[in-house]
Amino acid sequence: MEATQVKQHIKLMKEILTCPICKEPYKTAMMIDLCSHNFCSLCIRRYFNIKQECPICGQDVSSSNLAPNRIVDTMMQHHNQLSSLLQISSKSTGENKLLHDEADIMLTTDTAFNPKPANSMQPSVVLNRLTETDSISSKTKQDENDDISLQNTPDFSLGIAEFCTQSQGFSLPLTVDDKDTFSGSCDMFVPYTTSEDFTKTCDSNHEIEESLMLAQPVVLVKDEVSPVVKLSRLPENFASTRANENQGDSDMESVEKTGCPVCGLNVETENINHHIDHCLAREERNSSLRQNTPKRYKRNNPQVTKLAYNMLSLRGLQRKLREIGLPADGDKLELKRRHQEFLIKYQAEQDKLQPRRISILIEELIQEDERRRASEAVTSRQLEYPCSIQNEADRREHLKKHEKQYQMLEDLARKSFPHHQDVNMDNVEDSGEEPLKELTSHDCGEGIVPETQLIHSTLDVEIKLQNLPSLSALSPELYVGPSPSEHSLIDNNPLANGNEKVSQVNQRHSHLEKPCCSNDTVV
Amino acid sequence: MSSQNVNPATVVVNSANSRKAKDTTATKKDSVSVKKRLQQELMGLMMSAEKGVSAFPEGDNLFHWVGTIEGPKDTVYEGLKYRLTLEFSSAYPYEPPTVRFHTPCFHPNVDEHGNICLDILKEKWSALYEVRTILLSIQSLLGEPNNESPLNVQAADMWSSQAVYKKHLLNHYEKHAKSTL
Repeated sequence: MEATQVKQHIKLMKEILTCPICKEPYKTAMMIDLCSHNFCSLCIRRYFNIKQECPICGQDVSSSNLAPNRIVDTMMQHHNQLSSLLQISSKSTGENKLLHDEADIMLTTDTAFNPKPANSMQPSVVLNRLTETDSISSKTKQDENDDISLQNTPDFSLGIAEFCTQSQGFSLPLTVDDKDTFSGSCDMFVPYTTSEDFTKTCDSNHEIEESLMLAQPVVLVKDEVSPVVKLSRLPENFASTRANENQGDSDMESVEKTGCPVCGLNVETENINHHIDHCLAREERNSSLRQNTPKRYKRNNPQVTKLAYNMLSLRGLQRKLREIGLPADGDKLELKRRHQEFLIKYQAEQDKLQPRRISILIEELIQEDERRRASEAVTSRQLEYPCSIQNEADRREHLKKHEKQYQMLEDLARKSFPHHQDVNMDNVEDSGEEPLKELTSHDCGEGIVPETQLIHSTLDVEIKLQNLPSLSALSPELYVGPSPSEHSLIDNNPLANGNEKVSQVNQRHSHLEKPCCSNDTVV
Repeated sequence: MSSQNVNPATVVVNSANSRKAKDTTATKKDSVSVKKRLQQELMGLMMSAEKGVSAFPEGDNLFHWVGTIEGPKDTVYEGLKYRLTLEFSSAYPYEPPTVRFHTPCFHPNVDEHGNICLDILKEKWSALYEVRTILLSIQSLLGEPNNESPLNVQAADMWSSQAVYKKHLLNHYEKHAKSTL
């Protein structure tokens, strides 16, 4: 029972993790910041190329309102893992294993997500936590400190942020205790020992973050060591980093001091340059810590900006395409389409966590172009066939008028193509689904229609076109066109020789088109 | 920039008359992804088995579908069946398909050639709509016509008196529709 429930939930999750435009799992999910609706990067950018609004709520937005939603991507990964695990475990082992695996995954997701809030945790929160623990410690006396440090002993299941703030918290009372042992550096710890002073100094965020940074490596690495050892190490660390700034702080009233413009501390004038370097470097480090999101692409890259296609001449457009490295053949419309497609693809690529290089993208685009050209030749012909029955009423009238003639022609045709012809006729009439299913399975698996598949399907269409009563009725010349021998050649060995067949198909299409076009004038 | 502000609806409206012209002008996306999406929709339709609505590609051309809708309950169209054709361009789902009634339909928003006046098929189109939602919208349009902008003025005028409308409708259905189904 539980397994079915799990399956149900996974199915629900799959529905949630489906892009509403392509109806497939999200690929680089992007969120519109105004309405927080999510789409695949490629899908929504294509949509914006036509209409600049949210497809779901219709809010006026543009591509500048898009931001990657990495959580969805990560969830996608885990969902895939989960569903594959489920499939494996439901086959090989029992339900218990399955549930266990699921729990494991839940754990990994937790750990995967925790660092994020930890690093981006608001300084004010840290401050609150610090002052809280500090006020307790300042109230308590020395003998109680042990208890507190025990209470505050880090729980290793906690996230990094909590961990650090706690370790910071319990380090404070101990610095008071060990004042004697760390007499050399204790002056700098004075502000930390009392809560009031501490909050004052902590007004600048750098202080906290630095202390956090310093606390992290020591406490985290030595997590098996007893708290005392950790804490005795902590001040040492502080002392070493601050040594040059605070050296002889106690005995140097006479030494000249200057306020650091970055952190505001009073520093010996002699050492101010060194200190400022240190301060600035620290700030950079901090900001890089805070910035969790990867750097976005440069929007003003001259190669890949939008173009005012209408303002550009054909040559200008060709030049722009060549600059990128795209083929510059074709008319202006084709060039415009190619550039737009490249732009969309490029932007979608940049949204990915690890964008591929432009050269790979261009190669892909060129390949796709070729494939499209090939399939366009097919689809445009496929589209002509519904087109020819556009004038339903006219066609029916025409059919009625010349019914006898067509009947005669059809009979003639049947006689001239003896066996396989009839089989084909049956195929057309009763099982229109079969070739489609075949197509579906191929497509879903590979995403790309294999060349041979395409040829095969065109062949089918081609043959059906000939046999379709409506068309055959409209174009009697059709039956005269291909000779029976040629026909049988193609039918008997399908998929034998792709290229030859294409040319044959094309030839026959040219046969086909003529009567189709002239038909309009006939009617 | 100006090129991006083209209203796709105008392209679609014009396309009714000159589909060949559209084939060359419409922005062409790779047909592989279109096919994929259409297959997804087909799967969804088969699985869900929506009541009173069905659709299937005609032959093995995935870009040309034939749909059937039944008249909604408690309306004058109850019990009537209509067949429609849906044609998808290679820019689907960014552009709406061309949908028209194959069965002659007497309705304020359907003209004599089967063209349908429905906002979501034109200016209100969104990539989220799919075959299922289109057919459901058309089904509900049957029962709730928009008489403000009629294509068939006679039907719009007649709508107010339902009894007369129903009589005329059944007459019309017997005469024209039965033969095509």
